[in-house]
Amino acid sequence: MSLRTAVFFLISSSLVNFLAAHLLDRIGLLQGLLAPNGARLALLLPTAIVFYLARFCALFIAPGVLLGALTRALLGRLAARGPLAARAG
Amino acid sequence: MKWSIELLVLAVGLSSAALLPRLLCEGGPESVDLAQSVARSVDSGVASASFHTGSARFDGEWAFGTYLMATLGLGQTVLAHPEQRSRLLPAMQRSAQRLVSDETNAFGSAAWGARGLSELGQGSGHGYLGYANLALSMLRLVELETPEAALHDALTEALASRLAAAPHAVFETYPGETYPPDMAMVAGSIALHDCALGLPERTFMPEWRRAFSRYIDADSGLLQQVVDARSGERLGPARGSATGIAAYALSFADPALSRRLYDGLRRHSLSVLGFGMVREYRAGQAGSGDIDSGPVLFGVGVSATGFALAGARLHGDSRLEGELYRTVNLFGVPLGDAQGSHFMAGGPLGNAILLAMTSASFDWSQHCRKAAT
Repeated sequence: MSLRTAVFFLISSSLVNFLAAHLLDRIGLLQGLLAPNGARLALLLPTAIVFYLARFCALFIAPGVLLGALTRALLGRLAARGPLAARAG
Repeated sequence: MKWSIELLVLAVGLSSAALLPRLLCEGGPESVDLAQSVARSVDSGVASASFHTGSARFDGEWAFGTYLMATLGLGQTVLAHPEQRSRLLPAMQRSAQRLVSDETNAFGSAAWGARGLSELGQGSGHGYLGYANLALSMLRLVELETPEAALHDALTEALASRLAAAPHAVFETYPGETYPPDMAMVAGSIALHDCALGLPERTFMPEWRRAFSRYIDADSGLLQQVVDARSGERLGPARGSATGIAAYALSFADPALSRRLYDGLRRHSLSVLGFGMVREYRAGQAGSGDIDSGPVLFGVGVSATGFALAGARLHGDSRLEGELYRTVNLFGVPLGDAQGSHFMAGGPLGNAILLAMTSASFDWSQHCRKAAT
């Protein structure tokens, strides 16, 4: 994954994490699940699923992807500059 | 060379996944901020109609549990932060009033066909009242003169006489249903009442502790969830949720017994990438979740994990406390605003429980009143 894509992945998952947390707080996640009614549940369930997926991405995956992309970019640049370049080539 | 770079990138990515989340989920709301949020929730009222578990009894228990845990958590916060007393005590008093109201106790009255708080002198059973009594004891510790003081004294005496008369250290919570963790609450509530009023320990307590210890499973260290009050026979498995709440309740009656239960609970804890959890059942035993345990996912119990926070705090296990708190932060999602902090996924009950568990301490013992001479 390119550095740019990794940055976008981290920012977007963090943003969805933040916004969906506040949306679910407004709707009332637990109360909504305990008192399911059609319209509320139709909004609540998908939002909750997207939220927890985004939260796991933002905390567990995206930071590692970004650090990995940074490492690759850094090593790539070093390899292009120094004696590594010859060996890598 | 490209392969070695890709391997290094993979190692960096995996190491980050293993190490960063625990740092990002560190900490959590200050207890004072959480207390302010719980106080607001109490002020706005929580009725059994707020819950729809599918069972009128469980809806009632959840409203009851919300006021119970709010009163305990607010009391513990006031003891730890005396400067918050004027802000939190009114909410604590309202919470205690609602806890003993007819509406909040309707689930118990329906089960027994009689109002438990009305027949304290000659009644029996109603073990669920031990929870209300612990909250009233906490209120008396913080504020001796309250409108519920006479009811609290009468309830304590009634529960003490029922516990002393119980042939196997337990009496019924509901007709035909007996739960040792509820008896831990009864014992804790009596001890805290006596601490608040400067009374000596009841004479039956040492023997009760010995008899009660029989319900701790020797192999797992977990507490039996259900027993038969008439025979003392164990029914069903020992459970993490029962052990966790009993370890908290008994911290007011017998720190050593509380510690023993916590040690059992800790043996059932596990850590995944620095996130702590507690199993509901002992190893090799499968079981489903219920109203007491909450959801049980891959053997991990939500209630057992939440209640273990109090045990870890009380018994100085900062490693497990930190790991459990990370899990609470990950799934509970702390949010803050100018008026306090709360856990998004907690709802009124979850936030009240977390306040009580994360503010648990032995501070109460420094506030026991001196016996009148």
